[in-house]
Amino acid sequence: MSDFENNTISLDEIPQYEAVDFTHLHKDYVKIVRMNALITILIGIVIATALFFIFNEPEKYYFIGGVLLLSIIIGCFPLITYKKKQYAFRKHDVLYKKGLIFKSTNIVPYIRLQHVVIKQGWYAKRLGLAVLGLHTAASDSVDVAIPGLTLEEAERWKSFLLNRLQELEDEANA
Amino acid sequence: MKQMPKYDFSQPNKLARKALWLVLGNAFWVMFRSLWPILAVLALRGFDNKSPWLYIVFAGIFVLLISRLFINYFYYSYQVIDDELVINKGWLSKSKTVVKLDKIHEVNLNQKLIHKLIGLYMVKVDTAGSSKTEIEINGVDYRKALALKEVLTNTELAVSKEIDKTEQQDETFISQPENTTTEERIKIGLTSLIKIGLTRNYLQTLGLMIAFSFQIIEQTKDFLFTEEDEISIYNDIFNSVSYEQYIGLVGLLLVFGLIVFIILFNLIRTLFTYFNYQINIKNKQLTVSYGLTDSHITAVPSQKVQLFKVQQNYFQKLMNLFEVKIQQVESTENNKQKKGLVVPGANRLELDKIFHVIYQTDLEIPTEFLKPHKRILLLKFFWLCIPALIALGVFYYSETMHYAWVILPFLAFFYFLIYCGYRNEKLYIKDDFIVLKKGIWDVTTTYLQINKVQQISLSQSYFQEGRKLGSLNLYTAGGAMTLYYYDFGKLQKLSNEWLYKIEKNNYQWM
Repeated sequence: MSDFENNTISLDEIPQYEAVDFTHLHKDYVKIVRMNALITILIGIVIATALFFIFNEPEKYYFIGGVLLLSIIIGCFPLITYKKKQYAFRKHDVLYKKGLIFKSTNIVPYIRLQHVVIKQGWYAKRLGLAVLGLHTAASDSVDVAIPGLTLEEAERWKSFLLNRLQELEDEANA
Repeated sequence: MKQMPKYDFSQPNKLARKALWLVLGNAFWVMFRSLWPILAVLALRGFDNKSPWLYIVFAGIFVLLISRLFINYFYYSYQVIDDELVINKGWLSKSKTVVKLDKIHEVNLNQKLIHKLIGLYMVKVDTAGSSKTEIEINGVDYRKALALKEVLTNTELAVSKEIDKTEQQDETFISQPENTTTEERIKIGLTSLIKIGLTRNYLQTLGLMIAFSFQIIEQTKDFLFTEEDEISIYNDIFNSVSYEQYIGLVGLLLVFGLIVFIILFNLIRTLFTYFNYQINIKNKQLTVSYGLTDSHITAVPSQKVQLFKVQQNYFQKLMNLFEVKIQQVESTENNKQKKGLVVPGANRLELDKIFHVIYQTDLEIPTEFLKPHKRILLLKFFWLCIPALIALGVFYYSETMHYAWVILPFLAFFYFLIYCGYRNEKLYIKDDFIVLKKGIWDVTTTYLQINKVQQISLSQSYFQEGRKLGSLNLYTAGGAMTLYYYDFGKLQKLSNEWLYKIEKNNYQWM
């Protein structure tokens, strides 16, 4: 730490986030994605049937077709993109990458973490998967949530993060 | 200098007696707010409702409301036990709110008009974190409020001296006593306020103007030229003037009237809100007081500042005036109330002083800067084409294609604005500061200190990949800064560097 302040460091020596090896989500995560797709399409079908019985005009078929198409697109798109969701834990920060057409990488330094939460939906619970939510004080609620971890992994990462946080705090106070 | 009377906050404290007036006022206000449509209908009918039931129901509701508010008042108490603020509420169902003092990040004293009349303050306690714990102690007299504030924020001497000063200002508006301490004061004079009031918030009001102008013009037209009157009115007055010219004249007058109205409205609003604006600088802390009808006393500890924004438009540049906006930590779910402090009309020197107090450093903006890629102009042009095409469609279907040329000047005008925005956008990087200058008419310079960043997000779309372009979001606890459409390689390099700084230095952000 002490040698830090004076050194001017050339940019190439600074660790580069692009060069990090990312981990893919658990292979069972695809089941959750499929389930979500199914639910979305089901909702689309329900709305479409409702439209079918409510309206009598022949133009209704355009709307019904539109609703069905939209629900299929919304439902199936994650099936293609979920593979792009990747994460990496470094010594000082966590990285989370996602997106097929609009790619984004979120980086949260550990020292800015406020709290770490593990969430489980009903289906994820049956599969033994969990979401690791990382909350900072950022005001726009852009917090990172890493899905598709096994519960055990999530809990281990959580304790790792809390330990790291404590270490960093101790370092700062020392 | 008078000694502060001692207040014992370790015992439960009640609200001041006079706060009953607040309760009463509040009851009337709530009543009025929920019933005004009914009242309006009644008033239109001339209150000739025969049945007394309606009034009995009104009275009943009022009695219920006021008794509830009175009960709230009588069973409200606050106290400070060790390092916790405890609020007790309720008669039958009691509630107790406990807030740790070190979680409190701001204590404000506010006065609405009614508070001013009876000389009480509302103490508003903001806590970091969840918004549920925002506390308002409504109805505390000035000295007690200050003492409470002191206890809550532990800023010992910072406020005690203000008592005498601010009280004098409140009552007589005469000049302040000599200040013997090192404390500095910036006062925004009336002339500065008038200048700023005349030049600020054009865009907001322009939006309002556009929204209402069509309606107003339409209605006045209807009003002036209903079918029978059409000839008689203006034949008498404007014999020689043709109908078209008359319409033109009225339109022109309306537009001018509206502009004058907007400027005056802005001016009056600015004067009312920021009258007697004062900044006291002491121990890295700004204490600000302002307001004509509603007064506010706010403390801004420098470490809570997240973003520092300086805004200036062309007119303000001519007059060497800046509008400063200081964004602090927001309580997360409470974004409706934007937390931030506005300093209307500071000059260069004052601006530098404020900046220095907050960041303990002077910042010179370097000459070299980064700009978004030129392609953003093309992208924005495409975006602009969407409303243009929609308008074209409307013209086509309403069979008024011969008016379609109207779109072109609009398109040119908006594209010109976009171009101005592009020309103004500049990104400077100096030491630990990221300085982003952007805006079309009101050019805002945002200063972001790197250790305030909570989270970094880089994004790149499929279409940007080829040209190696991308965007970067820097999130702080007081808002975000977006660098849109820059060279992605540079953004990556910069974010690596910033991450390094954040993680290595381990600075506090608050």
